[in-house]
Formats: sequence, C-alpha cells, structure tokens
Amino acid sequence: MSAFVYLDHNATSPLRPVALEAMIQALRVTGNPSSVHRAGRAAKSMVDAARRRVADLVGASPSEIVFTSGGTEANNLALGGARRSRVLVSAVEHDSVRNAVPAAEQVPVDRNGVVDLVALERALASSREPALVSVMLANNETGVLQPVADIVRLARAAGALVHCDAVQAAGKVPFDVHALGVDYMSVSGHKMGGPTGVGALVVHSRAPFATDRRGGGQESNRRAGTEPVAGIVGFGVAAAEAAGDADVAGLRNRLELALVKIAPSARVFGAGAARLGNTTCISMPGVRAETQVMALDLAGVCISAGAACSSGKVQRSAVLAAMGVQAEEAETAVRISLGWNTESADIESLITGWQDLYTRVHKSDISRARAA
Amino acid sequence: MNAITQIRRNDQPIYLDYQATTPMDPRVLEAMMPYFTHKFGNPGSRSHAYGWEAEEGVEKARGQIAKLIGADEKEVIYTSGATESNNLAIRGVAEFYKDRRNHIVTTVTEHKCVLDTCRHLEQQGFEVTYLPVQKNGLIDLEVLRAAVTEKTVVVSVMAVNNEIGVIQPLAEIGKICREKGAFFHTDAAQAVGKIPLDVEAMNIDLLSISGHKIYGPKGIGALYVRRRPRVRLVAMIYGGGQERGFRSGTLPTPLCVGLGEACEIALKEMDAEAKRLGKLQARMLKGLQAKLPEIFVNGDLEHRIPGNLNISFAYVEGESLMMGIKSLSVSSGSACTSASLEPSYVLRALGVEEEMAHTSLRIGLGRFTTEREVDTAVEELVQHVSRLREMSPLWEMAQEGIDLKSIEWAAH
Repeated sequence: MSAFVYLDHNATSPLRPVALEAMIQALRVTGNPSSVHRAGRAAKSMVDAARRRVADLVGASPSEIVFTSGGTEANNLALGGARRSRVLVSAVEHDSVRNAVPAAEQVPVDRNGVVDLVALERALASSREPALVSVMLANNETGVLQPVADIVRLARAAGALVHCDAVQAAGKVPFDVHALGVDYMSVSGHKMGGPTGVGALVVHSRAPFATDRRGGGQESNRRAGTEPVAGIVGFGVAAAEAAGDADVAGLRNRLELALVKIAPSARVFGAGAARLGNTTCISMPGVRAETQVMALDLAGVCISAGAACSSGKVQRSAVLAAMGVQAEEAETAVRISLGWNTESADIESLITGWQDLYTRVHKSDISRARAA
Repeated sequence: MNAITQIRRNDQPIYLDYQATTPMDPRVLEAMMPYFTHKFGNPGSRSHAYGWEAEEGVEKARGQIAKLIGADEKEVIYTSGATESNNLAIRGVAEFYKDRRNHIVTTVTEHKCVLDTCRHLEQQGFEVTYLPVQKNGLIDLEVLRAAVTEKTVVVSVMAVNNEIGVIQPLAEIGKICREKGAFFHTDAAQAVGKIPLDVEAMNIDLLSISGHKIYGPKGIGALYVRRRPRVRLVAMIYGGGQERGFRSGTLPTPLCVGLGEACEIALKEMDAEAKRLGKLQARMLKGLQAKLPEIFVNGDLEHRIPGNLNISFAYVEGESLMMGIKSLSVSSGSACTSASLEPSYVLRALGVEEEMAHTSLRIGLGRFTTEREVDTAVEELVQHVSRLREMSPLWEMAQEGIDLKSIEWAAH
C-alpha cells in the first residue's frame, strides 16, 4: 500500500509518526484520568498537556477545550449545547451540522461558496428569537474559507451565538478562536494527522453550554465518558506539529495549473474565494467523478468524489449545488486534498494519471466522432 | 519482553484498579498498529483501496464483538465508549417510543451515566422507577416484576456493578422484560469478556460495551441493538450517517480493530482467566482475613466477578488508607466520582452504614495481576490497616468492648 499516493487528506489524514510514537507510549500507560492514585494522575497529566497543545493551536485557553470523540460529536454537542431553538446554518455545512438540526434555516452562499452576508443579516433580522448561527471555517469539499469574523459581527448585533465548524481548517490555516469571536468551535484530530476517534469542542468561557452527554462528570461536566488518553495525546502532538507544517498551497497551485492546462475547460470550484491551501475541487468535463476516482485508483492515486461520510451512495454534492453548479457539471467534480506528507512527486503522479485518463476519453471521443 | 514486565516496571505501584480501566493487552496494540500506520484510510471512503482496507478491519472487529455476546454483527454499533452507549440506548429508545410508553425502570446502583440520563429523562416528563437492591447488591426479581408495567419502555439493569462486582440475574430479568413487552438494556461495561453473555438466551435488547475495561483502548465502545424483534432508537449524534444512522462520525479504525481483538482474546481466555482470578480473589481475601479482624466484603461474594473485591476495613478511613498504601493503585469507589469524598452511593444502597462506607476499598484484579502482587498487596494492606487502627481511638474503644453506637458525641 505504501506505493500508493494518498491525496484525500480531507477525508482522513495519515497519522503523523511522532503522534503515533507518543500514543504508543500512552497506550502502554495504565490509568483512568479520573482515578486519584498515581496511575490515574499520570493519565490525567498527559491529557492536560495535550489540552494545552490543542488550545494553543486555536488560541483558546485550556479550560475551554472539551475533548470529544471527533468533529461530528463536537458539532452535535455545540448545536445542542447552545440551547437555542432557532438555528441558522450556511447552505454548505457538513452533514453533521445539517443533520443535527434538520429544521435549521439555511443561509445561501454565492457562486464561490461564500456565505451571503446580506442574506444572513436579513435572516437574523427576520425574527426576534435569539438564534445560533453555525458556519464552517473551511469547506470540506472546496476548501473555501468563510468570513467568520464578519459573520460574528452580524450575529452579535442580532444577539445570536455563533458556532464554527473548524474541522477542516484547524491545523491547515492559522486562526485564533478569540479573535474570530465565536462562542463554540469544533476541531478534529484525524484531519490534521492525529488519530481518529478524538476531537474537541472549544466552548468560550463566557458562552452558555448545557451538555447532552451525561455521566461521570468528566471534562468539567461538559462531556461525560472516560477520556481516550492515547488519542488525546496523539491529537495534542498533531496539533503542535500542524502549527509548523510547510504550506502546501504552492504544490496545490501547481497542480491546478497543470490540470487546467491538460483540460482547458476544467473548472476549479471556489477559485474566486479565499481557500485552504490544500484543497482542490475540480471538474474534468465529460468524465464522471466515479470514473476519475477509479481510474486514478488504478493508477495508484487516492482521491475522492466528495465527502467520505455518505456511506458509498452516489449523491449530488449539496455544496456544489448550493454554489449554483449544474448537476451535470457537479457529477464530474473530484476533490483532491493534500496534507502534511504530500510531496512534489505525489502531485506529478496525479497529473500523469489525470492526463492519461483525459487523453483516453478524449481519444475515444474523437474516434467515435470519426466513426459517426 | 513478556506482557507483564511491559505493563509494569518495578518502580511502579501494583495496579489493582481493573474496574477503573485496564492495561491494554500488548496483543491488542499489535493488532491495532497496522491501522495506525499504513492502513490509515477512512472506512467511509468507498472509492479507494485505503478506505476498503480500513472498512475490512472495522467489519472483522464488528464480528469479533458480536461473537462474544452471541449477537449478529449487524446488531453492533460502534460508539466512543460505554458512557455514550448508555446515553444512546436509554435516551434513544425512550425518545423513540415516548408516544406509547413513558416509564423507565432502573436500579439505584447503576453507573452515574445511566442515573444521570434517567434523571434528565425525568425532567423531560418520563417516569423513572429506581429499584432498590438487597443487602448483597442484587435486585429482587419480584420487586422488578411488580415495577414493570405496560407503560415501561425500557428496563436498564447493569450486568456487573463497577464498585462491588456483583452479577445481576440477567436471564431472569430478560425473561420478565420479554413477558411485559419492555426492552431490556444492560450496561455490560464491567461484564463483557468476564462472564458469559448471550443476548439471545438472556433476552437482552440493548447492551453497552466498553473497550478500555477489557484490555482494549479507551475511546471506543459499542452498543448492541437487537434487530429481531427490532429495537429502534433516536440517534444522538447526527452527520454522515455512519453506523446505520444510529451514530454518525468517522469510525476510528484502529480503535475498532482493538476492541474486536480484545473481544476475541476475552472469549478465548474467559474460562481459564476466570478460574485464575477466582483463585487470586480467594487468596487475597483469605490473606486479609487471616491477619485482620473486622473486615467486611461488600456485595455478594458468590454472584460476583472474580476480578473484584470491595472491602470495608472497619475503623480505618478509606482515604487515609489509600494515601498510605502508595505502592498499590486501588480506589475507594468509582473512578468518575473518586475525587469526591462522598461515601459511595452504591454501598449506601446496600445498607452499608456511612462510617463503613468510608472505610471501603475497591480492589480490582485482572489479566496481569500475579500471585506475587496479591501477596504483596495483602502484606501492605495488613501493615497499613493495622498501623492506622493502632492510631485510632475508635479502634481502641472497640477493643475494650465499648459499643460505639452508644456514645453520644458532643457537637462540634
């Protein structure tokens, strides 16, 4: 498998070897962080150290970090924990936000996938009921960044709380949760080269919060359940490492230029907006996304046709639809996402694979046209 | 390096808190390793080999978990741990069937995450009956039978208590639930892999499993949800629709694989291990009783997992004892509430008097506990209990035959 080129970091990022090393150490230590004896205290101090590292990555204070089982749980915990029955979400949110509050009002996005601030302001003003606004920092399919600070300003003016799903952004772009001004923020371990099964919800020290997870009172009564010590340790290390990652935007830009050169009518979605440096959502005209994914898989390159979650069923991307992309074009869009271990050679493999497929399809088009 | 030296170096205290958490079995870590490194895909990624490989690992583990409890693998849902499983099971069924049934039956000795969930549901308008337990920690089946009505949606009774290790009569409880048409949920975090469990024979509809209580990793658990007759739940975590919509979120592949392996090992070694631990338990108890008068085992000794002892050492304050025996990692009760100095509500429910509840220690034995460790622990306990008693005026008075209850203490 190591011969494969993995360019699907937005689905999950390979675990960083330093994180794994720290986790193995932690896995060999016995102790429940809630136990008062030495073994318990040792486990607790590991959790606390990781808490500081995760807090540092997002500019929070350690006491504002609530460890969860991942980004999905963090999103659900925030949306339930704010205890606001009126919820506004953008039209491009992750399923874990959309499905947690199916009755939420949707705020449209523009052609680039950026939240329409005028529409948001209007929606906020349409009711006196205090709302919760949930907007992601970076989109998982396109990498498009949202103007979260602006959104917070509008929300504040209307007395609304703000949750920000920063699962895809954390570790890929620097930000400060307090400077953004949000009340709640979700982050995930495995999207930044930490382990799966761990994430965090940042709860601003002043934000109201009522948990949905009851039990032993862990995480200062905000999320019950024995802390997954090793996972948290790995998350902490990944957070510290991610802060020092080299920018992959250069590689990504080179990749996009090359792909568009191969297929001049290919379109990069969200290209007109600020985006994460690691993500490309691009169409290959006339070739279905599944075909591209399979062909590239055979060529040893892993990419995806969209979000990984949706249990294999082929669905039209809600994100692209919200951006006004026609179904026909959306069906030809693939997501390529780079990460901490992506090298120049990986990009070359993708370009070659893409080119081969494009040429193959193009040729058969020509031969078919000749035959006709 | 053998397993035990790997778990414990000589300078570390002897770990006797297996109900709080267990050391991970090195074999489990070994099974997990490939999924940390080269098999790192998202099992939800259906479009490439990394995803398939991860999915294969996750599904094999699901089968291993199912086998241990006599379930079908389709009936196993991964969660982040037993707390989540318990929250999901009880709230999930209660909310799904609330229009038809609004009554819940549980016991006063359940884990906090069950009790807190029930209390929350009470605030939501559900009626909850908290069954008392007998002096031995077991519920009275007739009391249960009387409590379950046609309005009861779920009966939640733990399989094995986390503080006193007593095993509830699961098959009998299951039978009563089935007769009355109520679902039977059991928090089996402390039971799985330690006693034989069969969801069919015991008529269990929902069963909670924890990874780190059975030598697997923390951060993973499972919930068994019966398919025939089908039990339906309102999910607590929504999102990508993983786990048949019951529980969204990217599956932590290495943790799932670890839980599966832990279950397989437990199934293979359960009988031999139970016998071995039974001997250690008896050795420890005999050792203590031989040297220390006035010690009492809390909870039934017969209907009990062999890996647990909960002992009240009369005239000795549990906290001082715990602090004294630095070379042993034991606890005075549940880990979750161990930072609080309140006496255990479990022991209080057994009718143990407050003073005696304060003198109790929970001693957990497990896979890596050796005879030598037990002997050392007995020695340490005997030495420190004797020392503390020598300093205790109460002990002195008791030795002189004064009935302490007859004394009227002056107000402070």
